[in-house]
Amino acid sequence: MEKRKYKKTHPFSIIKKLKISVILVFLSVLQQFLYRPKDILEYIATVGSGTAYAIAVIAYAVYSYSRYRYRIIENGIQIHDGLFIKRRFTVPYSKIQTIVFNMDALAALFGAVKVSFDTPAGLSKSYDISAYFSWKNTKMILIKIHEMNPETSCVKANFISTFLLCTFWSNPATGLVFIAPVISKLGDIAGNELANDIWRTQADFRLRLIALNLPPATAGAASILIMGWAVSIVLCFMRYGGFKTYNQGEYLVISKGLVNKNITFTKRNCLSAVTVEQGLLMHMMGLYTSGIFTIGSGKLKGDRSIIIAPEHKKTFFRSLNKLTRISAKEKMSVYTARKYFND
Amino acid sequence: MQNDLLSEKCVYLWRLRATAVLIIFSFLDGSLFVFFPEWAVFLAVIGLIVYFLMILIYFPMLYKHCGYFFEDNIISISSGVFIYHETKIPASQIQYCVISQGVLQRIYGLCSVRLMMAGSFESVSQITMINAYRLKNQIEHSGERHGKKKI
Repeated sequence: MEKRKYKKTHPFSIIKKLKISVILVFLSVLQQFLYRPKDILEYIATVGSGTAYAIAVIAYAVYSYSRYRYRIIENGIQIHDGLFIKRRFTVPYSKIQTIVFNMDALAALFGAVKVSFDTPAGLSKSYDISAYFSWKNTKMILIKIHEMNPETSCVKANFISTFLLCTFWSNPATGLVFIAPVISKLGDIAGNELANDIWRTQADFRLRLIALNLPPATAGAASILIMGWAVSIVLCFMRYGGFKTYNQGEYLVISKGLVNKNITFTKRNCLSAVTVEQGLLMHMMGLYTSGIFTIGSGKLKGDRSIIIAPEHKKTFFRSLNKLTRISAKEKMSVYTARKYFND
Repeated sequence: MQNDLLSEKCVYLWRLRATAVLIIFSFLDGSLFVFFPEWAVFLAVIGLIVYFLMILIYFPMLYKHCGYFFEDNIISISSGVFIYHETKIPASQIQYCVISQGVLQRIYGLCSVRLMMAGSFESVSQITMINAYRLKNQIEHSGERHGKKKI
């Protein structure tokens, strides 16, 4: 009877578990083709081992998914998890400081949304509870939050602010890491003509830089870096497009993302600090940005989410005052959030 | 102040783990014997002496020196034979508890309780499931009472 009350997460979680293993499986399959077995016994040994590995990985993912169950109880969320090492724990509602809704395009095709709950606990870089739930259930949660607490003090970043944010937050390396395999893959799928066209565009750009009296080697490096940076800006824009921050009841909500929508609810009384930041480029342009710190440590915990995109001083402090109660007259330093966030 | 000791079966579990380590060590030592027979024999003798000392003397002593107790909303965890280690954690600082049970622990009906705190964690290992749930409930109720008092 007790077991029936526990629910399973969305089956898309199986794909999530296979994510890393898929690369290993394909590597194994690739190895079989490169090895080129000569007789039937070698063929069975090589293909057989790869197939056995693939079956084991898929079986592990499916069985792990079936072992992960959750139950909503009066004071928290109960989780039963684990295949070889069984884990049972209850995360109390009062300890949850951050709720993250991640709606990526691939999961949306299967009607799944990734919901993560985080507390200040532990040293792990991952969230305390993170799983895929159905869009129907997630929508009910979001509607309930909206009904209980109306949206107030909304600060929406315009196109220029978002573009500047992406420019300051991106780097050529990210673009280069992404662009090279993508162009190669494009060549495999759409034909080498397309890949060659792209490389030709890059070469033309390099020639234009040489025409500006730059040495050829410098022009070559500069063209690659600029191309990488441009790609990185586009990727960043997909991540931060539609950037919006607002207060909703006891939560500070950050909404961002074009293709992959990300909505983060952070309890305002769990914030440790609010920062006002200004990098060198931003200082030259007279821009400011703001971020928040929460309790905890590690990469994801101790969150430094941006709450205001780069703005000029007047607009920035008006936005900051809207979201918090910090006025322009306050000295710019790391503020204790409790003083300003507690109602 | 009643000190809750770990389950008596934890000694058997530790012995089982030590035996598993010894088996792995034997395989490695066996492969070393091919190249350096004298060193392999020497290491084998040392390994066996350490193994018997641990299962006959060290583990029973460790069992007597490990324990935990919960009083006045503070949980104290003590351990160590040669180097004594005690940790006191206020229940209000514990975010939540995770009860985990490995494959070998399932054989003896034991489990571990991990106390999750802001930025760190502590473990109480090799206790029975009943004691684990009792400890978990004590911490949760203590946390609720503390929360109510604060308000």
